[in-house]
Amino acid sequence: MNPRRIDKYRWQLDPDGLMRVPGIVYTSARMLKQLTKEDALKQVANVATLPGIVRASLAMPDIHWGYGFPIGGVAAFDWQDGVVSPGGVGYDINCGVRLAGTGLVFKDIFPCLKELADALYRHIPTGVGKTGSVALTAKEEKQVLVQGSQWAVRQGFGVAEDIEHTEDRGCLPDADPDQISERALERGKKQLGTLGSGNHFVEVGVVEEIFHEQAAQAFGLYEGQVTVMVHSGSRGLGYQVCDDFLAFMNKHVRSLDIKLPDRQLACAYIQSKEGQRYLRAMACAANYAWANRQILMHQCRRIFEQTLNISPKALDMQLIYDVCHNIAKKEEHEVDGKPQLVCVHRKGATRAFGPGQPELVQAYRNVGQPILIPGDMGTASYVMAGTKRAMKETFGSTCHGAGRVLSRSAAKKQCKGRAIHRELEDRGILVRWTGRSTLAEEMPEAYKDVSEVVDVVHGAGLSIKVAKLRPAVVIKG
Amino acid sequence: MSEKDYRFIDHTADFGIQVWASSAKALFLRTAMIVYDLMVFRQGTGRHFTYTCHIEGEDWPDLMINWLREVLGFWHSQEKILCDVTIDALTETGLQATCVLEDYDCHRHVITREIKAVTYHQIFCGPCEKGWCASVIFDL
Repeated sequence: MNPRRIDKYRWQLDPDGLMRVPGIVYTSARMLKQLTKEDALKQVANVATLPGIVRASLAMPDIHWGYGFPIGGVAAFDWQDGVVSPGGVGYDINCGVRLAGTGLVFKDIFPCLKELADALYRHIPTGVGKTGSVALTAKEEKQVLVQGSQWAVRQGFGVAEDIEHTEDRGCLPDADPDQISERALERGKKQLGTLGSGNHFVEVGVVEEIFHEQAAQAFGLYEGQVTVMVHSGSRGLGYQVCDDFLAFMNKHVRSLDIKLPDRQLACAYIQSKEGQRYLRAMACAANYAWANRQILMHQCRRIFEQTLNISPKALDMQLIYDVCHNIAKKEEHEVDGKPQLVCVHRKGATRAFGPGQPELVQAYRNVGQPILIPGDMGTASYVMAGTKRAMKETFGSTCHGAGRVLSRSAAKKQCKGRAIHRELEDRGILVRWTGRSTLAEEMPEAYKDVSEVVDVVHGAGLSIKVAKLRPAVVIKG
Repeated sequence: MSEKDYRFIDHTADFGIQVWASSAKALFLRTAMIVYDLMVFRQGTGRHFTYTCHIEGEDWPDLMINWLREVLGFWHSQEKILCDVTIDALTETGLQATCVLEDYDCHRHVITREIKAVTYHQIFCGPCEKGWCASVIFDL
């Protein structure tokens, strides 16, 4: 794969073989070198072979090798003639990030930082297969699948404003629990309000730098402010939905005229019964994930209040935004000067709607959607804002994080003899974790430099830098 | 399971295994047991249950994926640990197995690595120079 340079931040894979459209990769010359060592570019090309793909198969600078679609991939398919692919969404349906601001500054929490880290770790269920504090009946679980965040808020896990500050108001329409298998329902029943394992986290951060005053003001961010970021998804339920439909579509796709370069790209036409079934099941898992993050954030609120012994008013923890980065959505975009309905797959990519979009809450409509880009646990995270250019070029999409650069086993090898938690503590970051190898696998060097990733999407005009957050407390699964 | 029977495959986000065996039956048995050896550290024995499963697939790779899906499902949906397997019958499109399972017990079992799903990515399952071989990438 030899991509052709278009400009400083854009490379093109010209259509070749079965590719229906070009591939466009947003990256830097330095990161591209790393990328060509793995098969991620081939995956960008593979996605370009799928029927109904519109304009291009896109890859954000945090791209790395996934299965089927690359992580960091964006592809839009015509709503009438295109396909939907569970592999283009990923296993952890609606894995995403939410960021809350508080009325506190760092010196307010500094004396209690250890107590706060311990309390968050104690009360937020983390790790493999952990069960949550919210036990659901079969009837309640189906309500969660249909109502999403709104169910959680109705149960007292949050306030109405949280809903307004969540992508799609925390609920995809057309969710149909009848499309969910018994096994998926079983997995979902006990895991609501749990963080999970791997790269999921709760992070207490501090706003270190503001880059864009007007947007920061609209988002309610200021220097020195304490923030809380939650990264989690649809847990076992989402995995099971993806797995069930991958198996189903692998059979189904054999009856179609689609030649797949990779079985993980199994798909169905959006307008077919099979495609609609997946979209309805996926919506259920997406809604479960939103309810999950809503509950996790509300748990953080209670833990802060109790540990710091302050009132909800003094804490003033307000949701800035919740974004999903593994999803397929029906959206209208301008293609060749005309509006077109498409199904945008974002797998390890974030919606980046620009100013003026009616989907955005009024407070953000002038500056664009908040975009939350977590980095590794030792560096920084960024808040960005969506742009009109992203609407034109990438179906309103941008990157989702730093992106892995080392495999887990390579990270563990590099980690031998090191105490990562002490190294982080020396940098002022308290970390609590559950999994035996979590810290080694998630060490800062395992990821690309998030600042470089963010500089690419900023430079390319897909989103603009608003604020940089530094981590103070990290809870990992 | 001896590490000579398999090797790890490096993948940026996740990991995989390549497994060898003398026959197709031995390969399906061995791959299932390796998955649990990689996931769980166990001490002692608990009450055992037997469970018979029937799996179908379009071809050898699809059958292997569907078999491992079933096997992982013991943990994911029932919190049961696979202790032993007998492959009772096997063709390219179908498998019948008797699985010996036990309940997860936090005092005897330590989950050392969570394998969340099995993927079609770079899947291989079939005859090879050494007999039979499978390559499978897992989502962690």
